[in-house]
Amino acid sequence: MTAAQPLLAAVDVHAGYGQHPVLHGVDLAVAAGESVALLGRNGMGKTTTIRALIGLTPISGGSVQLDGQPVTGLPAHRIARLGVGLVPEGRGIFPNLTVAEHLAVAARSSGGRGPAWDRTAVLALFPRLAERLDHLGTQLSGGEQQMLAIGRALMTGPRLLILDEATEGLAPRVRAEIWSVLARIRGEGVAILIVDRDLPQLLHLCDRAAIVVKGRIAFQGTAAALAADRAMQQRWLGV
Amino acid sequence: MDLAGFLVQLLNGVQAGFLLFLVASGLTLVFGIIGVINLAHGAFYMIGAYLAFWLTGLTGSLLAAVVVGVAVLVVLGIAVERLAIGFLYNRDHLQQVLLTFGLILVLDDLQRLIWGSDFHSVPVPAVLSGAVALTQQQDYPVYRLFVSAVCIAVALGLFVLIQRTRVGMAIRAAASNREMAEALGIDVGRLFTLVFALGVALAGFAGMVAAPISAVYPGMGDRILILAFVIVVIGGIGSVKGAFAGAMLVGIADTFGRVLVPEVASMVMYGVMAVVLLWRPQGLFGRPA
Ligand SMILES: Nc1ncnc2c1ncn2[C@@H]1O[C@H](COP(=O)(O)OP(=O)(O)OP(=O)(O)O)[C@@H](O)[C@H]1O
Ligand SMILES: [Mg+2]
Repeated sequence: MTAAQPLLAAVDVHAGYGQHPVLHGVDLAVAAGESVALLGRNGMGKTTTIRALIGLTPISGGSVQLDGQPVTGLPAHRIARLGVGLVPEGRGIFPNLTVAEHLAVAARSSGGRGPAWDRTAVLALFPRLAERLDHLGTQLSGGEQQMLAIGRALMTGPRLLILDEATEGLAPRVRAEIWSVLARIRGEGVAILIVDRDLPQLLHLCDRAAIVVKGRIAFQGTAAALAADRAMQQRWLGV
Repeated sequence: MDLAGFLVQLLNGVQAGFLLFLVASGLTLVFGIIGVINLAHGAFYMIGAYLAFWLTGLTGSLLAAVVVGVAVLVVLGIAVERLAIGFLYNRDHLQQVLLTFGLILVLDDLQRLIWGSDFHSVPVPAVLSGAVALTQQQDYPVYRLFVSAVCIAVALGLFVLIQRTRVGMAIRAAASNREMAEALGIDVGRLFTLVFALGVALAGFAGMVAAPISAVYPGMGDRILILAFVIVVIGGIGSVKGAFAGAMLVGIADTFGRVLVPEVASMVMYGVMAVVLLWRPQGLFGRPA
């Protein structure tokens, strides 16, 4: 699946924290409706890549384009409004908001330009949340928090959904549920950029994969190519 | 003190508490949500009182003065946040304290430049100038009752704004996790500007409705600032509910202190604060550190 114009295109992105550089030239592309796995060992810069793409960590070099439009240096809320939804590492649930409020505060009436998800659609995806509407963020189980983080991101109507470790620390049954929901979201035509530890599931869900090694992209290709190359998996992912 | 006298003082204390709540709620909101300690909060109270004096003179109506004055205060709050406070987020509290202390000096000078150093008074609006009879011997001014009613309305309005509206949800979300709120498309910078302006408007509004009760004079915000800080600490920093409880405690304690122990009246509220903090170090509604 290759569109003439990728939905997201990062070219030679440099970023870091204060005086500490982390990304040394990341090149990454996600086409409309495509699913891309972002892989790499601990501390290689996956989360930093995501943060730089969506404007949470300032970019010190290179460029990011969304739909051909430059977004380098735009504040995160502007990039989000162009149709990028985030499910962050650690879930980012607001302790002082109820489930219903999480969904309401994220809802974009003006439209996030992606498929429109409203509360009904999100609750149909995660029936568990429908029983917890009045619970505060802190009163939810880890699995429920993760579902809420995904549902909340969908409420913004994303064309691109970015997930960072969305199955981390969850029971196997809940993980399976999340993977199947991600497949459904993908089926709606939402592009996905996903970081996870579960390589088989990633290779199953995604069209392509990219491997981050020390702040650079060491491999970018089809999921099938990565699945076939045990040596590469061994070398860069340690599996 | 007979029962009627007690009742009058209690009403006075409650009414003072309501007024203090208006001031303290702005202080605690600004601290709890945008994390800025605003020492200039009392100066905005003073500016509000002067605006009431000045605009009532121009328009002949306190209501008109309040409407125009609140608009002026909101604009002033937005300007101050954009030009100064906005640079302080994520900075050391010492820098905030220095800057907002500097703001006090600027606002004090501004007040002197525009209105001079004289004491002024603002007449109670004619419709509210009467008194109601509490008992055969005791009257109570209608205006003071009116002020309490207005404060209740504002308190309810604040509650609805923060707990029931989408803007309020966004404010709470941004206060607990700014980056996540940004990633959902919320313009947190703009939201914080609004919260700061709201705080300024609350302080100034309190100064305006208090103007007919107290005099209008230079430095009138200083005492109010200290009271507001005592209240915020008693109630728990960042808690609007706590500000309400603290304001009532301080309003009533201060009022009775002045009647019962005039020699040490100014220390009564600190006594209340000490007792509360011994019992609950994080304040009445504060979260444990
Ligand atoms: N807030 C921060 N301040 C300073 N350095 C950071 C910060 N966050 C991450 N780093 C450093 O940046 C590097 C990349 O971290 P990053 O979180 O992007 O890696 P990651 O690939 O997501 O790792 P993980 O698999 O553990 O989530 C690491 O060396 C990390 O120590
Ligand atoms: Mg990470």
